[in-house]
Amino acid sequence: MQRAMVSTSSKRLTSLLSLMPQRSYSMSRLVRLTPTVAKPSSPKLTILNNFNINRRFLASFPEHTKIVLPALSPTMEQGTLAKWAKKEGDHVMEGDLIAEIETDKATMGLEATDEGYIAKILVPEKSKDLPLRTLLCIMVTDQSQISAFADYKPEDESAAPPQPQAEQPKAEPPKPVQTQIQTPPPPPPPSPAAQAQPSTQSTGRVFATPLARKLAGERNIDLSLVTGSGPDGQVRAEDVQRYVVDTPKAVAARPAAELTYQDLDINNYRAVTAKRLTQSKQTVPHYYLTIDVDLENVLKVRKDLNEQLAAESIKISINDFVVKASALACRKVPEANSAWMDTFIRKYNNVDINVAVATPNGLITPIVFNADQKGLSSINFDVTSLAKKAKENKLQPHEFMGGTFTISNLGMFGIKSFSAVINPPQSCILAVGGADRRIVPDDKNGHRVATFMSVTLSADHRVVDGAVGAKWLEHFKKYMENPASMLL
Amino acid sequence: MNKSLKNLILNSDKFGQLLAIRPLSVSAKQNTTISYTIDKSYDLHRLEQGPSLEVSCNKEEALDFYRKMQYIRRLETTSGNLYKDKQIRGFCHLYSGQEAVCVGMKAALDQNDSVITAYRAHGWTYIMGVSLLGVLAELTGRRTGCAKGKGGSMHMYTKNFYGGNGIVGAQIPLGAGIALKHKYMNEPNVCVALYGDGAANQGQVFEAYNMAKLWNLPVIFVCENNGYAMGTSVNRGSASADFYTRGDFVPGMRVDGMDVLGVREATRFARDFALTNGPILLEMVTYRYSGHSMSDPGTSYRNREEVQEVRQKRDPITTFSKRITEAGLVTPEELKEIDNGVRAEMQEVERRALTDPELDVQELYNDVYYQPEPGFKVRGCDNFTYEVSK
Repeated sequence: MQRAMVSTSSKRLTSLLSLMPQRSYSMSRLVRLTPTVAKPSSPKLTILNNFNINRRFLASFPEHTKIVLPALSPTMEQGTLAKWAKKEGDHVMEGDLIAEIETDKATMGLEATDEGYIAKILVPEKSKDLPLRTLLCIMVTDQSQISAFADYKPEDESAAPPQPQAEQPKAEPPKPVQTQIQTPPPPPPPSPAAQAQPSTQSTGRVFATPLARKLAGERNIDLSLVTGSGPDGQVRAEDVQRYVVDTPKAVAARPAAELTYQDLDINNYRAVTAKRLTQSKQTVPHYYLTIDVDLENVLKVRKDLNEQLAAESIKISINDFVVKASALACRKVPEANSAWMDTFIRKYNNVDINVAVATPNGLITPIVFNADQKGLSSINFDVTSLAKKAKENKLQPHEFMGGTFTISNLGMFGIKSFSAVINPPQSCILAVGGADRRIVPDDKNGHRVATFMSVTLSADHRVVDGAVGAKWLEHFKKYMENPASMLL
Repeated sequence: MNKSLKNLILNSDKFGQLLAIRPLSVSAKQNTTISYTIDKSYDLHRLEQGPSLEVSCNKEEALDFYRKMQYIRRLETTSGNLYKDKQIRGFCHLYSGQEAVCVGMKAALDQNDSVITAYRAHGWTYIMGVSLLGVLAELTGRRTGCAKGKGGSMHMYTKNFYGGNGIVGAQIPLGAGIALKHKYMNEPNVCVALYGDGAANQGQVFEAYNMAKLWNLPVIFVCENNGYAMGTSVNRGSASADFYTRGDFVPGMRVDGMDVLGVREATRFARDFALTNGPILLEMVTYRYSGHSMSDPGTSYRNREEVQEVRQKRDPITTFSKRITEAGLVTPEELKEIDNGVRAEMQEVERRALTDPELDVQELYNDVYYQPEPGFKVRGCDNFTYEVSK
């Protein structure tokens, strides 16, 4: 059975504390004791490492116990106080129900762990989404003490004097003072006209298989919006995968004559892309390096190879050369094949290249694993099959999550050059423009016609300095202009 | 609910009423001892005669039992609160409501008798000699825990106490084995092997009964029947809910597990029996207030009213305290003083359990081998990580 979160201290404790080194707060205020050795735990839990002694001996308030919202299940992060089962002044026995708390899983009872009287209720019924450790009510042991709490307010004992925390040796990152416990990112908003959305209520538990839940969690899909094809409307993994094939729906709810616009749904791809790229542009210090690559030799080699592979109907493209050259350049300049991890830089030992693919739903970047070790035909095979899968929405998460370096090629659209946005936590992205025939000066004949391609490397200045990025491009250019060197 | 369980609830209530009407049934000789007759006679299986229905204790013992049961109750309450505050993680199975079993049994055991139980072991760990801090700090994972914080709830051991076992029913054959050791070494000691009503249906338990009887091992099998095997009540889970008869050829006895003096008397009888006649099976009819573990609210398979009813009518601590105060053996003030002392001590233990330091990461590599040579290296998580082990 669930019990109220009750922490108590005693006079003895206060006297023990008086032996502690003097701090700049009065003995009567709340003292927080923190562990002297940092406990390795997630940021979410760091606030809970402060042992909150809830029994106070203030000048104005008699000895009392604070009942805070406990974690009634191991995964609970917030709860709604549905109903109080006791009123102020009620006598409570050990094990009695005090309140009903609605959690993510079910409505559970909050029980008293000690006998006492409810002195003051601080949170009204139906208070939604209270974070863990919210003060719910005060309990006292003596009925006569109830009146002392008539005007009790939580600020009276201002919960967290930061001084004792600051003076304790701490190896953890500074913790949030207030209990802002992060909730998982909310699913994209459902369209207004989609009232006929299938099956379950958003407040109830969705009947779904564990795999479906996992996929929905990875792809940020709201399970309650997915139609279930299993028994009793159970949502299965295929339903979640198919759900992504949502084209932006036009809302035709209002008379068309008055409107000059349409409101489109934001599907998952778009939402995730938006979030990640905004975060990238806002937090990553981008800088751009452009270089022109002479494609003459690459085109020759490509032609030769394609003739040889004609029988197997494989067609190597310039992009395959770009992928290979980038991978080898990453080997030469491993700083570009690194990731910024806030407190350290991760230098990858393998080169996994994300290749940007445009699909009807949005942009996705499937991965060519170990591109530096693969031959051109392998890379070609990978890229074409991944692109095909991407367009059919059949990509598995492991096929597009991860990677160490990204290549985005808009050359086929005639774009001369452009700068791409880095995909965090990677530190580089190569934007490849189209092949461009130019007249260039030539020593022998004065001029010649050459095919050039402009590439722009966007780099994260936290990881890759200008000279390092330039070196990478230098290697890339050398590989591209001298394809045979890619065999070394 | 189990018929016998219901009977016991009803009978205890009647007994409570009898107590009010006929105070002479409980006598306090010169305020130094209390004795009374247990209302219901023991259910016996293959036993001609059970333990005496007359139980008594003196003031010192009474206060000691009361104090110990209060300690366990507060320890379990504190563990539950800390678990809800995410200071204790993993498994946590609480013993609240079943205190009389371990306190009563230990009072009748010799200091060299062995005990082995399942995972609802905090009460037993304490009663077998681990300090409150040792138990609570182990739960919160600190250095001062009885297993240095390395083990947690299901890894508590001390001298003559073999844990703390996670696999359901696995400890019964082990218990028989420990009894074999006592017999083999000619020690006048028994092994108490405890299990629950859920484990009573496990196959290896019957194998242990067979071998214990065959070799006349001094083992006391104890079924702590708290009415529920996780969420399954005994009548839904067992074809026969008379667990004391399940030993078949092993004699057995059903005992009210909420009466600490009754438990002690029965254990004395069982101990004497086991040392001379081989194995015996005790079924302790008891009740747990909390759910099976901290993930179980405990109200999806039973009413809150049922739990509150047991709390009010059969709680081991309050029924015992009522008996001893009404008989004049102790005064309510003495008990209140014990309550306050227990509360204060638990607060201090709780404070220490939360602020004591944890082990260094280097400790991961220690306690892997017994007395390794100096400089001996233990492999870490992969072939490239080796550290010196002590």
